[in-house]
Order: sequence, then C-alpha cells, then structure tokens
Amino acid sequence: MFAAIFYKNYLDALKSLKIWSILGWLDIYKRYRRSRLGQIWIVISTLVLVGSISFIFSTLFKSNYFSFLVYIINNLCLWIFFREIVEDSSLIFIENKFFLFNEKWNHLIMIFRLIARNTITYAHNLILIIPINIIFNDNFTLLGFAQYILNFFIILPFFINISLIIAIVSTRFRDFRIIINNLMQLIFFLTPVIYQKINFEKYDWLFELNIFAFLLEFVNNPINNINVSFINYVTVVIILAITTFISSIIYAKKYKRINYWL
Amino acid sequence: MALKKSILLRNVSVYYQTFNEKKNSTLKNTLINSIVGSTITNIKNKEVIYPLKNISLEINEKDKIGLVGQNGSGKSTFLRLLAGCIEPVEGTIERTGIIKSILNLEMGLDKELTGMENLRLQAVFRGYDLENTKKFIDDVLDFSEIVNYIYFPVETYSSGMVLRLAFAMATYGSPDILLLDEVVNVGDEGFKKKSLARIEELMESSKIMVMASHDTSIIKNYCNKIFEFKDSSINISKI
Repeated sequence: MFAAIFYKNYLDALKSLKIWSILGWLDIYKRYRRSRLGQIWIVISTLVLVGSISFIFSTLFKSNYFSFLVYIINNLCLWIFFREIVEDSSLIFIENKFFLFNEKWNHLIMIFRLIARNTITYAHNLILIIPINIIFNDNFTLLGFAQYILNFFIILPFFINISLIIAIVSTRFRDFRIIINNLMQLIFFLTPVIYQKINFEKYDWLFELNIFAFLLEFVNNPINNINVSFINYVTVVIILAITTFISSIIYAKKYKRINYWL
Repeated sequence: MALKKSILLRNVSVYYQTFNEKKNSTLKNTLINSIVGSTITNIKNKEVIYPLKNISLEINEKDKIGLVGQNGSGKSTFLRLLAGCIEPVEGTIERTGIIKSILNLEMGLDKELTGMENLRLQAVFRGYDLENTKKFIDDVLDFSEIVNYIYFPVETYSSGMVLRLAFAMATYGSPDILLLDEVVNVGDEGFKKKSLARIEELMESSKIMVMASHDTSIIKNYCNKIFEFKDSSINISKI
C-alpha cells in the first residue's frame, strides 16, 4: 500500500492513547506545577485577554460589549488552539530528542502528544466559553453546542497532518520555525478572529481562501445557531484527504531521516 | 516454536549530514578523519560523515559482543542502529526479539518530574498493568535506595542519586537483546558492585548482548566477540 508506514504508525500511535494523553497532560502540569493557582492561570489569562480585547474592539466598532465578548471568546480560544499547534509543531521532535535518541519511538506519538496538550488547554477554556455563551449568546442551544464539540473533533486530523508536516520540515530546516511563526502572525490579521467579516466585505475573497477562517467558522457556527451546510462537511473531508495525502508522502519518504536531523 | 533472536545487517550504510557551510575544506576533513576514524565525504555536494559504510553481518543468540574503537568511530551510532533509534540510510536491518537499549542513563528521565512520577511514566511507556507497575516501582526503590527522596523533583537530586534512579529503572526487566553504551561502571564504590551484579544478571538472562566500552577488562570479562570500528568498517574477532 502507498505510504503504508504512515498509516501503520498512525494507527499504532492512536492505540498508544494512554502514553500520549499522559505526556500531553504532564506538559501542562509541568508548566504550572510551581504556581499557586496552577492550571487556573489558563482560564484567568484567557479571561483577561478576551475581556480587554472585547472592550477595545466593541468601542472601536461601536458594538454591544457582551455580544462582542461572545464573538471574541469563541474565536480567540479556537485561534489560540490553532496557533499553538502550528507553532509548537516546529519544535516537537527537537524537544523530545532525549526520548527519540534512547529507544525506538513512533514519531506520531509526539504529534499526538502535542495535539493532546493543546486540546487539554482548550478544554480549560470551555470553563469560560460555556457560561459566557449560555448567559450572553441568544442563539446558544444545547444541540448547537453538541455540534460545535463534534466539529472541533472533526478538524483534529487536519491539525495532526499539518503538525507532522511542519515538524518534519522544521527539524530539517531550522529557519522554517521562524517563517512559520511570522506567517501565523500574518494569518492572524487576515483571519476574522477579533474583527467581523462584515466590516471588510470588500475582502471577502481573502477570507474564502483562508483555511483558518473557514475552520474557525466551521467549528463556531453551530454555537451561534448558524447552519453548517453539507458542502462545508464535504470541504472538510477534502481538506483532510489532501493534507493526509501530503503528510503521508512526506512522512513515508523522510521518517528514517528525522532522527539524523536532531 | 519461538523465533530465534537475531540481528541481521545487509549492506548497511549510515551517514550524517554535517550541515557545514564550508563544504570543500579537505585539509579539515583529513584532520578530522585521522582523529575520529570515520570518513567525511561529499554526496551530491553535501558534506557528510560516514560512521558505517556497507556493513553486512549477523548477530545471533549467545553472542556477547564488545564494541571497541576511538571516540567518534561509530560505536554509539551502531548501537542506535541496532536499537532502532535510527534506520540505515542504505541497506537493510532485521531485528528479531525484544530489545532493551541503555544508551544514555539519564535520557529516560524527565528532571522536572519527581522520581515517583518518572517511575509511573516509565511504567506507562513499558505498558505495565497495575500489578507490574507496583513490582517495577518496588524493585527500583529497593535497588536505588532513594526511597526518602522519591517524591522530590529529580532536578533536586545529586548526580549520584540521578544515576542510581536511572540505572535501576533502565536495568529492570529481561530483554532478548541487550544494548549497553558505557554504562557498566556507575555510581560510588558500593553502588558500582551492586550495578555490576545487576548488569551481569541482565547479560545472563538476555540472549544477545552488545556493549560499547573503552575498558578492555570489561570487554574481556563479559564478551565472546569483538567488533572493532575503524574507517567506517567493522573488523570482527573472537575472544
């Protein structure tokens, strides 16, 4: 089978759920272990960021503060999730050198670890997302929330693929990390995270081409009771198929060389 | 019938790209070659270092192999290759049996975690169930004698304590193929005796053992074959 090693290691990594989920959890645990409030800092920093951005932009765009708060919290938490995965990917193999050099490891376990770590961080932010939506989002429904969670999990394989590609290329070409970090800053401004699309109707084509903008809407629309069309699901499947194809080729061709580049 | 444990290398070559900007400094290459004993060459205009070139050999049950050679001659690369940490750039390698590699004692430890957290994590990596996890933890605590410090972060340990914990963790269990890289003489005098006895036990229980060491007495005592690394090739001799 074409790129069989990719699919074999992918399945093996999936089966090692206990390993990567514990490693992902430990990453968070270590980050906050010596602070008094621990992981609550994730929630506090999101709250401060979202609260202040909402204030600035609701004033700037002359919108209602609380409706902007809902918009910003839904978008920004997801964006942080996207950005952290993309940026952390460039260092994931280098950071885990001490594992990879001592025993035979499946590289995909490290990718799953990264996804787990960021999913756990995102789950912390649900502590804010859920009550703020219940209280201030008039369109919030339980069914919409269930679809929002479902869509979130549907896009995870996309980030596994992207993360693997970035991790391999960045391990070989160390400049790539800097390019990726700068690119993500640029994409942030091109994605309607803290501003609304309706304010920039002239540049609609830009949002159409932006995959992050599409994924943001794909996940967030149900929580705002906006229908996610069948075409959108088909688009996601196509995106997954293309990125899986690309990452499988790169992985199958280069997985033997990754540890040489560390 | 159980498969015989073995490692088979066919025309295996391993090279690392040096990522050096100056690719054609031949005087430097000559000097480094004369010091490290491996070959620096150019492939497709990339400067590469060849620790192993076109190696074909077979390692079978009852082989206790000592790896000797200068620093940088390819011993550690060879062990990494056998362990599966790296795959050959050219040629093929077949490994049959459960491999345990102790290539760098501290590499299995996360210093930000406590000793106990490291033990539990290692048990997860090894796929132990609750009962085996308990056995593993009890054994390591008993052997390393650091019970009083096990709930402290490893970064607060003295280097001797780290070594004790790492050694006890790494040497637990009985593999088919045991790979060791300069890890036989560890710790203070008391612990050295204990660790040697444990290594001997491991060597006895494993079907194949490959060990790199600069200490010729250790090689003579524990090995029945010598692989000598020089100029990217391996000379095999019996003891």
